[in-house]
Amino acid sequence: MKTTEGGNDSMTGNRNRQKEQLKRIMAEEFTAVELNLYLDTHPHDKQALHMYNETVHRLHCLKEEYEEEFGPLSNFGTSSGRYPWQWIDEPWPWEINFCTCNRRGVK
Amino acid sequence: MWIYEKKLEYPAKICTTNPKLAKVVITQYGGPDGELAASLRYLTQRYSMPTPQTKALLTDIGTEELAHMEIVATLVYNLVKDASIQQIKAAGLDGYYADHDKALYFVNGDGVPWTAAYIQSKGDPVTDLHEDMAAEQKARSTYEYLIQLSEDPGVTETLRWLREREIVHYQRFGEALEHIYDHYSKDRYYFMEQKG
Amino acid sequence: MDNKRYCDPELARAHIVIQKLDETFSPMEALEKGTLFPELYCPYKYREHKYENHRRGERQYDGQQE
Repeated sequence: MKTTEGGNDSMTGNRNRQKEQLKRIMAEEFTAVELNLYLDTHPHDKQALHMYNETVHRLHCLKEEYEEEFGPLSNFGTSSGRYPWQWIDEPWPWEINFCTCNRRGVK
Repeated sequence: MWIYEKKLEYPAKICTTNPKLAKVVITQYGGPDGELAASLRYLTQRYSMPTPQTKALLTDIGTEELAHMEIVATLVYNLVKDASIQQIKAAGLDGYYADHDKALYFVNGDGVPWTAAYIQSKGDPVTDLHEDMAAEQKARSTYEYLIQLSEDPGVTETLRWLREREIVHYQRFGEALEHIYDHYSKDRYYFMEQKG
Repeated sequence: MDNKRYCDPELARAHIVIQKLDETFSPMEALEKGTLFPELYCPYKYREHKYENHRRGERQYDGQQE
């Protein structure tokens, strides 16, 4: 598992940029999840559907930008791969800590 | 079928090394009211749901619960990963460590392993949805107790987020129950005629 | 399943108010709070002041965040 201890500035900067982009994607996708669940019990709500589709569009743009730099967010045929196979790249989600405290070993 | 997305649903935060906290948080991973139980309950009940709305809702909430399970696993993993053997012993996790090292395993706060006895799939949609609503309330209560126990501000914030999700899920299952009552009340007179 | 009938009128029956879409939080605020919908946002009102050792430089943690 990679850590940022030792102060490699460009790696830290890279990791921080990755976390910021992930947070923006999480925000839009979470909005989509909430609207999806709402629509499951309110299938005729046109306003909710419109909001969902707008969210989907923003989300796709953010994901495209993220994947260009950091590799694929999903596999099993959802997007083409680059050489060498990036799907295996670290960090995996449980290795990214969004705590902003001054914790030793935090990524 | 499921596609995995390589990100958490929420930016989980863990500010300390604290195996003692991990020992209780793990109950929302492999315990009776945890996210694995929630996920498997809904994903197995969905097959016998009678309407498109209920099949979709049980599938979608069941899927979201897997994402929550992953968040709980992330909390436990990060609370334990830098712990010394002394800290693990002091936390009362030496028994767990002997069987699992620092790996994740499906147990409750006392090391009792997960069982399908935690869930029911009764086939009757009114019955199943009541079970689902109760499950969300039990999970909410458990998160509240964990919030009381937590001394890590990042973990507390993450637990609060997971608790809020239970409230939203309760609302959706409640709406599904109202929908099921409507669904059966429309057919009521037809069934009575059939019985003659 | 076809012969299920539910009695009417029912005394013991759960009633849930169906949500109507109104205002929503912004995506970032929704992510922080755990819901898109203000009417479903119900934070846990628990506050406990935890003190670490009374050594200089130790942080005081307030468990309440609303």
